[in-house]
Formats: sequence, structure tokens, C-alpha cells
Amino acid sequence: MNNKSKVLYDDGTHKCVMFSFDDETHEDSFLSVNQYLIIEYGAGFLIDPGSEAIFDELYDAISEYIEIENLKYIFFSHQDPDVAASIAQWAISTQAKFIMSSLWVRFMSHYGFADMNRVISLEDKGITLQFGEDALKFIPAHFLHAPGNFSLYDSKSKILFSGDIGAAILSSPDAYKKVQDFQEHKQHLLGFHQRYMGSNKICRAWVNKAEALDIKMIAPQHGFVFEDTNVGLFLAWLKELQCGSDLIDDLY
Amino acid sequence: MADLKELQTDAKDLTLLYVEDNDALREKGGKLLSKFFSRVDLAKDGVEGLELFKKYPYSIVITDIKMPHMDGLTLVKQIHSISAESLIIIMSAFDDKKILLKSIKLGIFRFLTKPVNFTELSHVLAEAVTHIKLQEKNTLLQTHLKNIFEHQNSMLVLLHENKVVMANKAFLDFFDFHSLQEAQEKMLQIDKKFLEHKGFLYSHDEINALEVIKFHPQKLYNVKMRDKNNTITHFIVKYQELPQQADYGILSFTEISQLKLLKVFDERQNEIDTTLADTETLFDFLHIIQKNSAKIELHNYYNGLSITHDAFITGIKDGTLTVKTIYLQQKAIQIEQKTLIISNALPYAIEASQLEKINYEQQTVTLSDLKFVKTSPITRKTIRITPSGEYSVSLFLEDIKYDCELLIEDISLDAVKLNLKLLPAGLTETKEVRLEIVLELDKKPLNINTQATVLRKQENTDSFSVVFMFKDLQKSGLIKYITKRQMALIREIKGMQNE
Repeated sequence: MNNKSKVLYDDGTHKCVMFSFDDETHEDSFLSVNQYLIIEYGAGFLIDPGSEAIFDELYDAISEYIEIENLKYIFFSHQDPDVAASIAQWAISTQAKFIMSSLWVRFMSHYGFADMNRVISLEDKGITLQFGEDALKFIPAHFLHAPGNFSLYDSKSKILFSGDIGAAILSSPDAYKKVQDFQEHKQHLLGFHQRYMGSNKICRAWVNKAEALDIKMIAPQHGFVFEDTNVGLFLAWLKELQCGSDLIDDLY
Repeated sequence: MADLKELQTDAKDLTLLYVEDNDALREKGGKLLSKFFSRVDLAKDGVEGLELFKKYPYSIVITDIKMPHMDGLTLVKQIHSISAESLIIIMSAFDDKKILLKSIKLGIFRFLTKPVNFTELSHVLAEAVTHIKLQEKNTLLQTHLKNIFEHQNSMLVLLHENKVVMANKAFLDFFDFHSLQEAQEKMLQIDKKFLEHKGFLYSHDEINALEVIKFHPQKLYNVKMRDKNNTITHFIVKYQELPQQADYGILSFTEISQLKLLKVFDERQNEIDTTLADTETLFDFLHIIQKNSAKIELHNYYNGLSITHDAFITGIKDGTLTVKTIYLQQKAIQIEQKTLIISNALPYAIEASQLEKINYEQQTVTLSDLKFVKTSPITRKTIRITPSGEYSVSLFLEDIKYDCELLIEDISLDAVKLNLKLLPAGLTETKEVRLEIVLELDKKPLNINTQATVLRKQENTDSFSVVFMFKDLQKSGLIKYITKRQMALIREIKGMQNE
């Protein structure tokens, strides 16, 4: 296994893998990108596969874990290019269904995707999807930052795949990207969250949803994962964060 | 004072009975209360109060406790035996906990200790009025919903987080439930009632049928259930979320056993194809879909690119079908002069092969010559496109190059469909060949050299179409090619929106 993938959870039948493929043309941005794969009994669920530039690498990396034809679902937390721009490639190379907020379905043709028959569009409140023996919950995360945005909770591994929430701006190490010291890590979270997240009210709404779940790990699309006590520390931090429209005077 | 104004507005269509044995207090109170309520009657004791209440069911009753002939607590009991919903406020000089507890047990709304000041009274009255208004609204909504429920021929259940909260008579009768409560107790998992049948929706190891239905509101599914007499009944089921109440939704079952369509699915299972030619059954299905205002999907191809959008049936008449869909789909239908109709409610896809009329203003398309077809784009697993620009194809059979003109009809990651003027001898199904294809990607040649096997052959008027399945193809270049071509085709067809 290469050093760009890390197994986050594995109980023999259910597995969660983190990939860290960056678009090398943008490496200087320090916004390291993570992609995630959930596997249950050999069937795959891919989260935020990213841009066209990393398609080949990610395709090959996933093939090391499952047969590509067993990739059943591909989920886009929101519509950004670093999340969804490779949809056309995945549509051609797999038979997967695509899950996204209903707000973004018609935008997908701008990424060269036309087969709407394969889209499962999520209404604002989200849903629970049965995946093998386990439940995957789509948690509303609207305006954090995209207006149509979802986090995904895997009830088996108890990992919350949080999309841009929890994203940190820092260069990525070769080793496993895990937050060691939350107090130290806060500085990498602050600027991004202040600018990208809608408001404290919205952060609180999401934290309330998250607190109702039994979470062992929060895995964002950028930066490092939060494990164990860092989960609670991050949620508490986000709950108090002043951001977006709270800081409107700084922007206008 | 804003509260008083509000009280004046809200209470103007409500009535009040004030029972008080102290003449001065009764008169004074009566005058004050008349400013707010449309009708205020006064009684000097419990007996007089009860007589008035029997004649006129007041919205609110204010009563003293200690009075001659009949005390306040007895009056409360009597009133509640007539109308359990009446709001009763007690105003008494008794500051006795026992009496307070007793009156609470009797279900009074509030207990005020005399002397009562105006602010305190107006505050309690405002609460009472709000309570009544809310109750009225809820009752109205429930009655409205119940009326709607009862006036439907279909069986209807209102679900809240998968639990039955309301069911109409048709539903209760089907299972022989005598009350809603019985239905709630016995219907903990409604999807477990759906029986296994090929092509139908039912819960099994991999599927929770209710979740599937909820996941696709406005889509129709075939289910079958056993009624109280053990008779198997065929339904079309649909789920509709209540607006602004995502946790609530209505599950409707339209019985269609009389159409004897179960056999259609059985025949499909046994691959007997009498249904395919059965136009009457086809229109029965379309009528069911229209009656349920359910979505259908339309499929077309544009240079191999699949164009799919939702549509609604707006008319069925004399063998023609009119549907409403978006411009892009209309355009695709116009180009192909036909479309394919897909719905979960249908045993097969329907091909409408004659375009009668397109109305771009009303976004409608009228089609005829409808028939069931076994092939469906849903079963097409890969994206196929037609190539553009310069390309070349060489076909080697037993190392001998086929030297007639070869055209690519479409290409996917798994296969290529070639058009041959002549069929070379020995090109039988499953035969292995070698293909050398050169496509143009970003102005550079993209070479595809692979072994392939013959999957299918089809004879056309003056040529042959042969599908070759690739073997051990290095896919990455072709993924890029198909992506770019697909993007170009999308641009092309989108560009037509401006024409």
C-alpha cells in the first residue's frame, strides 16, 4: 500500500480508507485534499473524489482495495471542483450512483456529466441510506460552506466525514494526517472557518446534529482527522466560533 | 398594552360565562370582560351557571368556588361532563391547597386567588385565548386532513418517522383493523406486509422497502399484500412528504388487482412475451401513473450520449400520450423522433416511436405508436459515444487485416460497435480478433491496441454492425477521450437551447 492511503477502520467486513491525493499543479496552496472510501463486504462507497487531475491516481489506489465495478455509490458533499469535477470520469469508468444535494444536480453538466438517471439527489433534511448491513446518514451541513452541503456519518465505524468542516490549511506530511494537539491545530483552522463558514448560528445547528451522534472520528476533506477527545474539542470550538456573517463588517 | 389589543382582536369571536355570587364584583367583572369577548353572560351561582352552559357552550368559564346552591367545583365537574374541552378559570378567595389540588385534578385551566388584579386576569385570559386558537387550528387541520383521507379511494396512511399516525377507512378495512390504535400496534413495520414478487418492491436482506419508497418520493412502485381474507391484492404505492414537515409523509396504495397485471410480471419472470404486444395493458399502466401524478423518465440518445429527464403525463387520448418535460429532452426527442419511457411502475420500458407534436411553449411532447420493449437504457451499463474528428480502425482476424472501410458507430470503455460493409468469413460470435484504433485526443493520436471478442452482430440494409468487447484494455486514455467527447456533446446539445 502506498503512503497516500491509510486505513482508518477495519473490522473484517467494514473498512474505511483515507486517500490523500493532491492536484500537483496546486500543491503550493497548502490545502491538502483527502478522499475517503467506505467498503462493506467488497462494495465501495466513495466520498468527495476530487478533481480530474487526481482521477488516475485515485482510480488505481481504489483498485488496490476493491474491484472498480463494485463501487456502488459516489457521494459529493458539495459542488466544488476539488470535490466533484471528476464526475464525468467516474461516470464513464464505473456503474456507481452519484449522491449529492438537489441544489447541484443540474450544475454537474458543467463537469461533463449528463446521465441524470444515475443521480440520487438529497433534499435539505438528508436521509439514511442502507449500505450493506449498516446505515449511512447524510447530515445537513448547509452554508458550511456551500449552501447545499452534507456531511456523512458512518454508523459502523462511527466516523463523521465532514467535508469542508474541520478543514485545515497546512502543508501535508507524509505520515498519517491526524491532529495531535488541538490547541496547536486551532491556528490552522481559524482563518479558513472564519471566512468559509456561514455564521455561528449555522455552526451551532450542525454541532447540535453532530452531538446527537456517537462519533469516534471526524474526517474532513482538507487537512487532518480528529480522533477521540479532539472530536469533542473541535465541536466545542466550532460551537463558539464567530464566522461568516458574524464578521460582516470585516468584509464590507 | 399591546397584549390587551391582541386579546381584544383574538377574543372577539369567543364567548365567556362569568359565575360569581358577589353582585358588585359580578357586575364590574362583566363590564370589563365585555370589552374583549363577543358575548359575556353572568350567573350568580352554580345552578344558574350550569343552566346557561347547557343552552350555550361557552369558550371560557370563570367561576368562584364558594357559592350558594351549587359550588364552583361541582359546576366544573358538570361542565366537563358536557364539554371536556371548555376552558375553566377559577377565581376564589380560598387559599387552600386541598381545594387547589382538587380543582387541578378536575382539569381546570388556571386558578387565581382573589383579589385578582386586572393585569393578572388579562394575562391568564390571553393564555386561554391562545390555547383555544391553537386547538381550533389543530382540530381544523386534522379534520381537513381526515376529510381528505376519507374521500380518497386509495388506502392512505400518514407516517411520522415510519410510524402510522393516521389511516383512512379503506386502509383499516383492508386489514380488518377496528381502530387506528389497532393499526398502530400491528403495523410497526408496514414494509413487512409487502410480499415477495419478481419486479415488485418488498423488504429483504439488502433492501428496506419503506426506505426505498421514501428515498424516491413521487415515484411509483408495485407491491402486493394480503387482505383480511388472505386474498392477495396488487397495489401501486407512492410516498409524498408533507410540505415543511419532512418527518411526516403520506403513503398511498392504489389497488389495481382488477387490471389483472400480476400476470404481466409473472410472464416477464417466465419470459413469455404476450405482454409486449398488449397495448391495453400498456395504457392501463399509463393511466395509473397519470392518476397518481407520478414522475416518469424519458430517455433519448444524442450521438450516444444518454439524455434523461423527468416528465409528467398530461394527457392520454386515442392511443397518443402527451408528456411535459424540459426543453433539452424535447430537443433530444425532436432529433431522435422517438423516446423511451421508464417508470418503476412499468413491467417494461415503453418505446414511443412516433413523434406527433412538440409544443415548446407549453413544454409538451405528444407521442404515439407506443409499445413495451425489452431493451432499456437502464440496463446499459457503460457510457457510449460516437467519435469525432479523424480516426482510423484496423481489424485483424487470425492476423489477417480486414481491408474494407470500417466505421465506429459508438465506443465505450468496454466495447466498440463497428460498421462493416461486408462480413468477413469466420467472424462468428465469441471469435477473438485484434483491433487497432487511433483516435484523436488533444490533437495527439490516442492508440488503442487490444484483443477483442465478437459479442453481437446485426444486419442492416447495406452493412453490418458488430459489437466487439475489449480484452485487457489499458483504460486511462480512453476514459479521457470519452470524457472530453461527452463534454463536447453536452455543449453541443446545450447550445441548441439558444436556437
